[in-house]
Amino acid sequence: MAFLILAAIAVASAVMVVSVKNVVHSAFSLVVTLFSVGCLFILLRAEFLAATQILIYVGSIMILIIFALMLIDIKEANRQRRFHHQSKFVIGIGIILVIEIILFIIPRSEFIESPEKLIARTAEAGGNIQIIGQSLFTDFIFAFEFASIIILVAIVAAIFLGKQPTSIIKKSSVIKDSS
Amino acid sequence: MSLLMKVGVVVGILMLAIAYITLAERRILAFMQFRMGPNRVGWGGVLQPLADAVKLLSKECIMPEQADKWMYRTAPVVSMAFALVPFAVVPFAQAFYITDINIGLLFIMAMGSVGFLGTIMGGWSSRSKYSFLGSLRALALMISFEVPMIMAMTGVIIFSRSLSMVKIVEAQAQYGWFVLLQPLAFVIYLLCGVAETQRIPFDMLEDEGSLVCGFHTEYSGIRFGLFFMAEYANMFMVAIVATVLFLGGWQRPFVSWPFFNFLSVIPSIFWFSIKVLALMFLYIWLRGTLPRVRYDQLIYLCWKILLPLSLINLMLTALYMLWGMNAWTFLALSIGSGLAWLWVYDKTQTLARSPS
Repeated sequence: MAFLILAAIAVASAVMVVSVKNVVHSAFSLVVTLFSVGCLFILLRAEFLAATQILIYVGSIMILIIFALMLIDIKEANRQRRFHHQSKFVIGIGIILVIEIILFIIPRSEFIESPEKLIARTAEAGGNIQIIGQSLFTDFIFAFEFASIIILVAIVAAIFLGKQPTSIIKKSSVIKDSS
Repeated sequence: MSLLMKVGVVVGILMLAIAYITLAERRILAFMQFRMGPNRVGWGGVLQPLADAVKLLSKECIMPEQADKWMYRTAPVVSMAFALVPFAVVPFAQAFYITDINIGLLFIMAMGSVGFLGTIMGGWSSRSKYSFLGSLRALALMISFEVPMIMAMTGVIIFSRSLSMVKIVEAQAQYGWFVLLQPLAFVIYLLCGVAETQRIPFDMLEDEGSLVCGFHTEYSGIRFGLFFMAEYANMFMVAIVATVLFLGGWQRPFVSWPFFNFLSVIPSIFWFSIKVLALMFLYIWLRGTLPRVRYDQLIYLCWKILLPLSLINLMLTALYMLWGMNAWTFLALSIGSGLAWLWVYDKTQTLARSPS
């Protein structure tokens, strides 16, 4: 029951994200979507994932998105069309994904068959957080560090791109002043 | 006690505490500034919170015509709800907590960050310049304080080997209060805590000198009251988390010394509340003493000073767990390296500022 309510909220707000005209409204609908997905993780007994989902996505990434949205001209953004010709392409990909989920993921899912067994197995290994920590820092250490480096490179690139125009402006203003 | 009763007791006491901390704050600030403060309603002003509540409830809730109606209405509710939810995982006394979940600390942080969205919604949906600027500053505030705060908490988590609030308190019976082992983290947490509660010196989002009231300028009546109560609930939450993480939670002082065993007569809720109230007094004291900083200054403080400090603390804690060095050496190392970082930072700043 709780699953159905949360799933309905998640889907409805996800539809709102793409259909609402006001960009800030769609950002806040995305907040609702991410929050209800976090709650779904709690239902799946993945508490750590739920807390990090809410902390990282709602608490940090959405904050940054809203920060960026608040600085743009909303009236100008509202004048633009919501959907353009790419929508057909997107619908096609969506249908392929749904078929994939139904045909391949659901029949193989260990969790749908026996949630109790999985929970017991997690508890036996010392709980959720311990398992995630151990597998991140032992078996998947390469992937973990690699992802960190990719994110670091992206941050450096973003700072470089963000910094460049101001330095050019400064130089040109200096030249103007001297002339 | 049944769950519902516990929730009732916690919410009831919390509401009373919020009401009376506002009175205490006004009286203490008045004392610090040589004023009288509210002392007319009841004996010495003890009924003042009641009068305020009646006033807030009976006032009209005005909504700006251009406001975004739905978001304007939900914003105070979001603020208040997510300020109250984290109290579910707090161990108030030895065996008194609503629930003990294994991600307690993360849960508190997550709910705190969702609560901030209420502030931003309120500021944005009012469609007023001052509110809008206030919520922009709230965003800037949030992206600056959260990272060092979580990094500072990580040191404590490494010691206690758990995110559960109850287990963190119990771990401090073994190690002693974490404020002794993690002094850097304690200072970082207190500073970031002031930022989280949006109070002076970091209350640039409701800077009354330049922004009228910041994000809640357009709010009146009980909607304003909800924002106001959420701020004080957050303040209690920050004080409580500091108590649980660093000051031993409900434990009495000197647990390991048999000479002080007579202190165990006093119930654990007393020790818990006295620590929380001492931290609350600290925050009120800060408000009475310090001027407001600009928000770029806060971002510099958090990212350039507090974040490296918390990373130093985290690294030293990890080394301590790896090598098992003497606690005194560890303490000296962490304080020493903290001061060394501040010195290095100061040097680089003077170099950057000096004309070349």
